[in-house]
Amino acid sequence: MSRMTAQWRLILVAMLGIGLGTLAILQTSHMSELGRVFPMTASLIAIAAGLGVLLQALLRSSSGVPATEHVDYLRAALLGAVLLIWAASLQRLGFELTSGIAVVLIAMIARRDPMSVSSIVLHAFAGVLLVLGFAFLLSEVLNVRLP
Amino acid sequence: MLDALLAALSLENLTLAFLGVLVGTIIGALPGLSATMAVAVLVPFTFTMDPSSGLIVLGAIYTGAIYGGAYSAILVNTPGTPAAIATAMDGFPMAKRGDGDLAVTISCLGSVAGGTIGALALLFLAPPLSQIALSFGPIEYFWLAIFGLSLIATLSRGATLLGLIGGAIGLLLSCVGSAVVGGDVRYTFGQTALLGGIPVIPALIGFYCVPVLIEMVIRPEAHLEQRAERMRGFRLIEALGLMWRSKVNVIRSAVVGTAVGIIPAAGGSVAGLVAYSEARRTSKTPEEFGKGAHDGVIASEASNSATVGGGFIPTLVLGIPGTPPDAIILGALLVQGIRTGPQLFTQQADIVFTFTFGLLIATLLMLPTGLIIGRYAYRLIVSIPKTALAPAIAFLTIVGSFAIEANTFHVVIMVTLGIIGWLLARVGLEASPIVLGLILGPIAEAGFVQGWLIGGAQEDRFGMFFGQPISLGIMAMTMLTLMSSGLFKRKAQKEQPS
Repeated sequence: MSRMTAQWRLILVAMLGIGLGTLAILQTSHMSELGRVFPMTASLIAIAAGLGVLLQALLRSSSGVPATEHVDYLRAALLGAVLLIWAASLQRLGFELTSGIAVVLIAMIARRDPMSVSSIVLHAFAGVLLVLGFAFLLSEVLNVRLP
Repeated sequence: MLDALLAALSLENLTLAFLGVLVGTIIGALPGLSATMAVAVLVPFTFTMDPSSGLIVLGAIYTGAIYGGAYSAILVNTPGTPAAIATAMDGFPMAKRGDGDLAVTISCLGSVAGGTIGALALLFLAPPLSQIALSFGPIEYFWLAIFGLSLIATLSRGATLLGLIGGAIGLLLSCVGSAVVGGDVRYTFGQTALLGGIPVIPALIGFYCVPVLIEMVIRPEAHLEQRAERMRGFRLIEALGLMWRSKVNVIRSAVVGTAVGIIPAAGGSVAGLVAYSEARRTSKTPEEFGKGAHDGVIASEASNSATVGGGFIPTLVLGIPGTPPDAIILGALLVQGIRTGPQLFTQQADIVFTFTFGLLIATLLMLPTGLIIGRYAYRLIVSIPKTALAPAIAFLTIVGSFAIEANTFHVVIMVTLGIIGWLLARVGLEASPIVLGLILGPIAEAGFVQGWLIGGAQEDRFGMFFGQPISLGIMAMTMLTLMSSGLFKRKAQKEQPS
């Protein structure tokens, strides 16, 4: 089973290389002769390597890629979503508000045990302190621009 | 040079170097947090410093992080950074038999010795190399970039085809926006924000920090580390005696580390494993390796710390990163308005030499920091729950990617590339080849296009690309490095624990 998993991962990578390379080549039609040399070269490398990986996967040769372990994709997706929304809303909602909310949400995602109300309040307080502390350090002491 | 030494010894730079080493040691000691990440996350703190001070801080963080990896390698058998993989092989057995304190002390002394030799190599080798590099034109830079890109084979750890796909993705990412020469608009999909291309530092922060953050959150452990072997003291005299008896091993390992550091993007993990292998091969008691041999710990630590100075040689002389953290530092230098390359040593020599002396001082500061403060700070940090650590790291990645150009779009790019980087890592595509393609792509393309146009004007394109003596030398070097990196890789794989 684990071998199959590793094989399917290789097939996925191969498809990614071939697909990305093909898509990139299709986009070169409007480029000048010199402008398309590098994208074309990179695309051909991706396609050639993708075909090589596909061949490896079909022949079930050893690839050096370990089998997939169990991954908590829900938590990963939640974290990814929080980070993306945080980044996208920085300009509209402001740095302090978005950072305060995101910091608390990430703490909740990272935590395994169910959180009590007092625990949420404590994390929110710690999150606000963290954001304000870093914001002060960066903007006032180190003159780093903040969103 | 004396002025540079005095500048490096200023109270401000000494304090910054000390703090850099301390923070780097702590971050490097935490399992899962690499030296690259330590440098990436802390880059924004250096933007408003003067260039040499900023460089000293980043160099000190890098130096500290490489050494810090030894803590968890020795105490919990989990290398804090990939560079400490070989340290765990004998460091942990030493800790198991009650010599953890001695292992930490000899790893610190080995790191200081190796780091010092690497920094001295930077001080004495970089200036003459920069004189040679002054005669480089676009073709030479093209071949140099190809030389760097050829090392994707080294970076891909046994899966060259996967490394090539990663490298191609990096090259395609580097093509996004207006072309470096000619102004073709490529792969922007109508987004004007992408006209300037993919910003390098946010991309690096994304590729190196976000996947670590996601991995930290999805793992069930509440802390980064659960249990450590107990330590009793420093055992400094005993450690100094062992170091003296192992002086040939120290020098050999440091030379290996410096050489591997000079090879673009090879890094501390390869150096550590190769030096470990050499130490065992030349040892009178090779059977003790893997069971707690002092020489194994010394070889690994001396070599991985030497890669710091060695890695800065191609970074500063040619603008081609020697190791992944050097790639971040290269980006930070561009933000500071410093263009690396041979001219740096003539036009801004004061910055380079102040930094080099600063790196040397930071390496020496590892002694008090690593032996005394680091071990207590480390114990404090590992007790912090992930629920506090993960938000803090996320916060710093967001701020870091914004602060470079005060652009919120860069934050979106950082997060997006970070998530993509994590997904790619899950299917076996590592970040390093992608990053190498992203950084070296524009250098290679600009050199190629300029060479093509000049060759066309002279009606001798073949001679332009293949008839220049320096280009031929770099091509030969590429072939040689490909072969030697293959050897290094085979040795490293042989030594790597299953």
